[in-house]
Amino acid sequence: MNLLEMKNVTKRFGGLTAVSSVDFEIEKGSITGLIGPNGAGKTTIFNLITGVYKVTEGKITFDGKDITNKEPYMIADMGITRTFQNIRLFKKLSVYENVLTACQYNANYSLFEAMLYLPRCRKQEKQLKEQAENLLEIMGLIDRKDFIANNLPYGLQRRLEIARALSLNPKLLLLDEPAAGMNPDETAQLMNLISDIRKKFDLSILIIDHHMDLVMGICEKIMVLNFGCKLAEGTPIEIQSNPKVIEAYLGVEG
Amino acid sequence: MDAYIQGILILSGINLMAVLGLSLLTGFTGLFSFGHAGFMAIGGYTAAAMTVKYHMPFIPALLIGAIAASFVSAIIGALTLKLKGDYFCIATLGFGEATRLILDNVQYFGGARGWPGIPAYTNLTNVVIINIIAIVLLANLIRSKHGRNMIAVREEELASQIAGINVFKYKLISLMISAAYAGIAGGLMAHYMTFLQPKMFALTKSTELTIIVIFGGLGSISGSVLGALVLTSLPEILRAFSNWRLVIYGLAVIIIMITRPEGLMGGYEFTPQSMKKLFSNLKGKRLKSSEGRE
Repeated sequence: MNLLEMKNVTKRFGGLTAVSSVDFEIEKGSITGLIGPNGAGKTTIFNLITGVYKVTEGKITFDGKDITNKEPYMIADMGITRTFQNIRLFKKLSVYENVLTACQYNANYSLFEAMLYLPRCRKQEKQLKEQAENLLEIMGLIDRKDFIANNLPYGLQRRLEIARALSLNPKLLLLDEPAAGMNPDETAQLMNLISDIRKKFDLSILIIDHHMDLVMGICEKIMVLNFGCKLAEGTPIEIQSNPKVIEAYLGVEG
Repeated sequence: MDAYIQGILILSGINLMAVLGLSLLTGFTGLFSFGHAGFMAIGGYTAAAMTVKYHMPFIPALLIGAIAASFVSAIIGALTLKLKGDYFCIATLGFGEATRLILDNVQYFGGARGWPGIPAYTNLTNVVIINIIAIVLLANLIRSKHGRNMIAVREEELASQIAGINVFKYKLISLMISAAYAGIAGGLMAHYMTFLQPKMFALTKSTELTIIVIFGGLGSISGSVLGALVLTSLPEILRAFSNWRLVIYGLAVIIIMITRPEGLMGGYEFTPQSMKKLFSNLKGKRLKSSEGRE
């Protein structure tokens, strides 16, 4: 079954067509890769799915519901969340506060209950704090709980951003270049982490990355974009031997 | 207590009430407002109208003033909070000045001449009680998920949206609560001065409030309390220097901004836990230094 479907999606910025009639599906429970040369429109697709940009033409459905041009926070509530190419944490807050802030999908106490600190607020706050600590435990960040996010080493900042995304209990997680700036060792760790997350949290993942060993290693399906158009789609082996993909990445012989 | 000292404390308390509201908006949600004197004016004139023209008791009159200020802020917010960048700040500046000019011309409230004969209901006891309630409510709010959402909006808007936070809604809630606090401050002021004049709510009042919030430290309720007490009483303590006192006041603000740009408290709070931590840190340091000597 398809979790996410993009039908004929186009995005234009004035005269520039960043994404041009792309059709694309993500199967439930899969890890899908999105690759392409710089400026191919990969991050634009993420921005379209999460509602940061408005779609010019076409339709995006998630879990059978139309999410085209919904506000980002609504889409997040429905179960799609993401990380950013240039990490966007709540920099001045602690690791724990970063996760706790996003941990709120089943806390529904009102503003007045909060201001008067009524029992329902107390009970739900306690649950949220437990959830946040559990998640930090799973992600191996619990011993750095009180660190200020900005002071974490780069690799852990990436990990914290994934932890924050997971605290929304998403069905679909979009990772925008999670391995950027990582050495081969860290990349291998990240690969393990991503497959772990899928099993533990029962979700589907879409990854943009330029590390071919990562993308080819963990993705079951890959889509290749070039100049905003879909160039190819298939399993890693099909993509590696596709002449059009090789041409886009390496150029034509002679 | 000396009536003079009492007067200074009441004025500090009135300022504190407005500063607490502004602290939520500026310190915790990251929105700057230069129109909070306008919300004070709306709260003050509404509360005074309730007690003078409708002979209402003091507390309900204050609450109606707060609701009026909050209602007006909702209209301003709905129109301007979707704008990016500093436009909200400029809109509040315009709103504050417009409110003052409109009141200058409303003869029902005495116009520019002012409005005397408001009953003197405000005293030190009710100012202190109201401020304590206001601080407790605000502290509870900030510790809750709603408060965390506001802080998230201050830190990183896009990431907040992706985390499922309705940025516009939380900005609006913050503004409305903030305006309600300012409205109560206005009501307290009207019933302390027993006289209202639009001039009391000029731009300088708004900037004074913002200065106090920044002086005390953005993102700290304790800082706002400290800032309101210090900066309201400072010009009075310095009265002996007559004309030079406002220069000293200005210097004090500049020195704090240069030596401690994060403000007096800089995001920290006075709580039993934080005090304990501070003392144990100090003890630890002293132990270390004495060990070093041996």
